[in-house]
Amino acid sequence: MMDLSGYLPDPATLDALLSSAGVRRAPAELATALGADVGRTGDAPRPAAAAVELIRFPSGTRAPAAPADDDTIAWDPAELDEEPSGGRSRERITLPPIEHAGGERPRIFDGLDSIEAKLAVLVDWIMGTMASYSAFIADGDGLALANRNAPDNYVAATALIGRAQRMIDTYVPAPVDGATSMELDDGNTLQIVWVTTDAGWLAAGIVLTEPLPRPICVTVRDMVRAAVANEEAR
Amino acid sequence: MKTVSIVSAKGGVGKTTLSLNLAFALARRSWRTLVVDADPQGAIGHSLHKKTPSAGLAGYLAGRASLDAAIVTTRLPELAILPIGPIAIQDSQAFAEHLADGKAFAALAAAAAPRFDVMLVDTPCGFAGVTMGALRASDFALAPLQAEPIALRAMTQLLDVLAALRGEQRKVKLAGVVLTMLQLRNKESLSVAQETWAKLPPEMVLETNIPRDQIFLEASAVGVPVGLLRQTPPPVASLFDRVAVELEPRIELTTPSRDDGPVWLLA
Repeated sequence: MMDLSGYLPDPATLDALLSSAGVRRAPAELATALGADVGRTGDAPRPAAAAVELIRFPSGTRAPAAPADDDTIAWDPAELDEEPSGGRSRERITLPPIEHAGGERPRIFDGLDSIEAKLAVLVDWIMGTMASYSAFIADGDGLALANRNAPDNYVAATALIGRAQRMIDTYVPAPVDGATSMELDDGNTLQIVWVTTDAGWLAAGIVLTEPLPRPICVTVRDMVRAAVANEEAR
Repeated sequence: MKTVSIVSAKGGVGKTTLSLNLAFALARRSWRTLVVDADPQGAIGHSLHKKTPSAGLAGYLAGRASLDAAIVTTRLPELAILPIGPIAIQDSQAFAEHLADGKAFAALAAAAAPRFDVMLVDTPCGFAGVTMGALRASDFALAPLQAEPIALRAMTQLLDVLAALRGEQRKVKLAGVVLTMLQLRNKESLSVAQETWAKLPPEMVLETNIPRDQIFLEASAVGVPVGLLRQTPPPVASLFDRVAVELEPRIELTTPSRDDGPVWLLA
């Protein structure tokens, strides 16, 4: 995985900022790039940082007014009525609790028993995290196990590509768990990530603007394997 | 009605694109939505195809027009726009100072509340007067985060501002951060996204990301939300539908103020 570049402050400073802003911080073990958004933190809020100096808005000198067009609204506070009334009552709202039973961070497959449910959650996760337009998980024969918005012919094409790839493997060796991208007529890309799992050779098909880089394909592969872990090939 | 300010320390991160397209998506989901252009540059006004002669926000706050007269209706009955209005450029500083304490925005929210379920405020970049005023009167802040290094470095400013507002006992909460202009094949963009996903709390970052896409320029050039760019909307329009779906529970848009269906299929 690519090293994180440190655009945000160090963890302690970021922690203090988040606490001050009323946002709870993720625990350190969430430092997996794509895994970070598959669950919620259950850690307790940290103590607030030292009081942050309030932002002030000193009155500036108003620029001399130029003659205004008829259609232009000259904005002079002195011309305004008294300050607007009818402001809503300010009820302080606290952040809703995010804890989970046992204080552990749930994974996206937690609580799901069936492979269908897990794969349905997985394609939703793929679409959300990769800004894709559609996604599906299919077996090597082109049977869609889960599908969000992908046309059937994309699923069928995936099986054909997989078959062709196995046929030409003698001449152009490629990893069984590789990735293939196909430019589509509408300018988008059909990204296929092959993955060998307990449930057989599967393909994750993802339609998005550009092919996925290899680290992301690896993550997709890991997630597919996790979804179908302990499922025997049918 | 929920008031949501779209805010960012950095300019050019997609605030106006997010505001307009999210408002369109919320309206398509039947939420009565008012999008307020509070940017003196009039970004939303410039994004629209037709000239809007409305007195706008400035005219309403100056008492020159009623809210009804100031807002611009759209082809969606649920979506209305309050453009900034024709502010004299030399008065923009005084305008910002007038709005900074949040009272004007609070009054606007009170006036709009009977007619709308949600008010999105497109703010100028940075945390100067107009943006602070909008935040002081808002229930929530939504922050587009451009998937580029400078934008992520500037993220701490937003946290500082929210901390300061909490110190003022303001009610505004962070509804979430939306990664925008994401390019997964660009090393820097990807590293920013990775750091965002890894270091910020998962519940802070929306799962839906907005990619960098030529289609936004195209839609902006024509002056419409991407959902109206073609008879069959481009796929990227669906991303804003998903942002809207994610945002609804975050901003507590859960109790429709009107009959919630079912909508009968047969005419």
